[in-house]
Amino acid sequence: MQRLAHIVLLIIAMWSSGLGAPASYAGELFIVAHLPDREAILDNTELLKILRGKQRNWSSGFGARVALPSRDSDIYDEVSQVLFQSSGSMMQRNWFKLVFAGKANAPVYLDNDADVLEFVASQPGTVGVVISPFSIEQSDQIIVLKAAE
Amino acid sequence: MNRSLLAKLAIPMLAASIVVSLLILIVVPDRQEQALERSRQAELGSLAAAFGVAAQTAFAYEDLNTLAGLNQLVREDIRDLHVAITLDGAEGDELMAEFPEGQNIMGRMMQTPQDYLVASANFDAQEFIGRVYVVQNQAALAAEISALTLSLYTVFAIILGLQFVIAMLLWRQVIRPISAAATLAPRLANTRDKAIVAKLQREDEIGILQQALRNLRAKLLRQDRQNRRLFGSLEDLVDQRTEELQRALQAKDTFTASMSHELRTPLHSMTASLDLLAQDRDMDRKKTRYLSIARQSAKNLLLLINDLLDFQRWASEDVSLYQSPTSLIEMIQENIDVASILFEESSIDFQADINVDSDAIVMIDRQRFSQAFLNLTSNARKFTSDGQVIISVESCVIGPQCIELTFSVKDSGVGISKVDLDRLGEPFFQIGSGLNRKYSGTGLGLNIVKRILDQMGSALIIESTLGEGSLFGFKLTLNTVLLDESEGDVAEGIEPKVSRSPQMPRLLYVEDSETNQLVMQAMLDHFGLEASLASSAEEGFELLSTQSFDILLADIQMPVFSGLDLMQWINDSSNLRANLRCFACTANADEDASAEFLKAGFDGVLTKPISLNAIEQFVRAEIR
Repeated sequence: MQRLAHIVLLIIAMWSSGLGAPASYAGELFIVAHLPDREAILDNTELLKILRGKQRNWSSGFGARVALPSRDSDIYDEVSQVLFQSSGSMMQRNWFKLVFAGKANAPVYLDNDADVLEFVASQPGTVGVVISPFSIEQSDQIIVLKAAE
Repeated sequence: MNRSLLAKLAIPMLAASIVVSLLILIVVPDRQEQALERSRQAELGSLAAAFGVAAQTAFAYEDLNTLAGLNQLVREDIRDLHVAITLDGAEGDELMAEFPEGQNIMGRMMQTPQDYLVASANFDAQEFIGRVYVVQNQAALAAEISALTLSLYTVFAIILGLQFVIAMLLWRQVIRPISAAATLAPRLANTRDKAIVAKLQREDEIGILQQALRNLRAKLLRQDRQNRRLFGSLEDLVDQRTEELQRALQAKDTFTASMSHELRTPLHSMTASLDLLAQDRDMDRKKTRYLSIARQSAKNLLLLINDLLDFQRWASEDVSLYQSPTSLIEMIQENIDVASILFEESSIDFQADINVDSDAIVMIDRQRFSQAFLNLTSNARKFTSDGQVIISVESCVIGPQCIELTFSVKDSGVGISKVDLDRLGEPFFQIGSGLNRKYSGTGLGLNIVKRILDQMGSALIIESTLGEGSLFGFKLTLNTVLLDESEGDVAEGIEPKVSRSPQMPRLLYVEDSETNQLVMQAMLDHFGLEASLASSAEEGFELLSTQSFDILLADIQMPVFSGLDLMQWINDSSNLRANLRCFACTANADEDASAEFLKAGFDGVLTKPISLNAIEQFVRAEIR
């Protein structure tokens, strides 16, 4: 549990310019995770499944929770495009269907990086997508790891 | 068991419970189905609304927590529910999601809408406009209703079973013991009945009642045993008293018979002597008057003795009728002749209206008929000082060998008051009785007549008006008989047979009483007959053996050997009996005794006191 209590800030440079940038935002996107297990962080596939609602729990069994950009967020459509290759509304429909079917935990829709980082930092097992993970002030409890490409 | 508690209580209770249960079973499932359907419809509507709100919240406010919570709720209590969410699209409703997945509930609902209960709710959240459908299959509802109905039936089956158990308990614990007690109760009083009240190990009211019956039964049995002991001693006492009474009655009968005999014997001497004295034509009027009074008094005394004897015999019911073939006209005429003597030397106009079949031979006790006839006639004479007495006798055929004889005697005498009419016929009752009574008699005559008629199957008819006169009568139904001409004259009871001796008969009189010997000799002498005398049976038999006689007159009650012994000796000597006619002379006036004498061999019976008239009739008959 001690290890699970570790705050791991994963900053993953998921998208290079080769992945394609959104219309409103052309920069890089980062996935921020508050993982209960340090080893699990290295599995990008698991992270994507959690973000797409295909996996409800971490491989260790700890419940996963996703912070998605709200309709008012700058990366609303970009994240949707990255995760579901469709518009933001389609992302909402997909997650609606998943929650409705009981296959996924209900996500949290947040407006900006600060809210996402605060949400992720405050709860273990959470995952979010931000533009700039470095806006969060570093502390002893927060460990920032640079994810490999 | 028709009127038992079972019929009155347990069966109606059980029947009512069954009827109520059946009614509930018939009515409740239908109502339950309707109620359940309405309830389910409302439930589906509420659920659809909740899903609509959840969808609205999810799309409008980007909050899927409500939807997640609702989803979890539905999953936990799914009950075959389908939830479909559609969004408005260019080509109508576009299915966005359904639960359970892959059921195509919308398509199936479109095809057979009657199979589904449906509730829907709209939502409108910016670009997300659509509807939520909550659907349940009717079959599922029906299965649920069936399950509920089955539960209902099960509950009622249990209730019925409990009712049956209660009824059985009621039957075993209450009704059966009470019924058993009720059945036994009427038998408890009969101590000969082997009924036993069962002992119940119960302390409730039934047990108390049963114990009370047992106690009552035991008490009754104890009482019965005491009663039996008491009855036993009482029976012994009654037997003892009955024996004493029988001895007393026997003594009374013996006394009566003895007294009758002892009174008649001197009376015979007295009346016979007076009759002989009355033949003396030289007496003056004064002596003749005294003699007449003495004769009448002797006759009255004889009547009194006869009445008392008859009454005693009738009272002891020791009387039988001795019927014999009798010429009706002769019997009537004889009685009329005797009756007419009663009216001689009186101013009464006596008439007899006889209208009977002159050829009729009837079976009748001639002596008893005459007794009734003359008793009623003498009463008419007694209570009529002047005026008229009419005797009427008629006979008519009422069937083959059967006639009805109607007799009446009507007088114009004093008549009888209504009060006296009611008492008429009571023993010793007499009209005008009292210290200064006007009419003589014992008051037994009518009572004896009533008893005679009763014995003959008839009854006395009495009509009377005070001061105007009376009518007494009766009707007899008599059987007729046919006699061969060769039988000659009709048998006439105990009367002597006619002797065919062409000469004056030689007569032997056997009598131990010297007085009676003298009187009889004088009476026979009066009619020119001589009689040899013997003072005992042995002497009489010796005379019979040594001399020739035509007639034997024998007293019955004599010292050492009786007249019956003498008759027996004669019967045993056939040469003596051949041409001898034997007559018993006895003071015993009992018909049974007379019958016994005839059976012993006597040809006739002369009952003491023997009057001069009786001797005259006897002599004429025998000389003829």
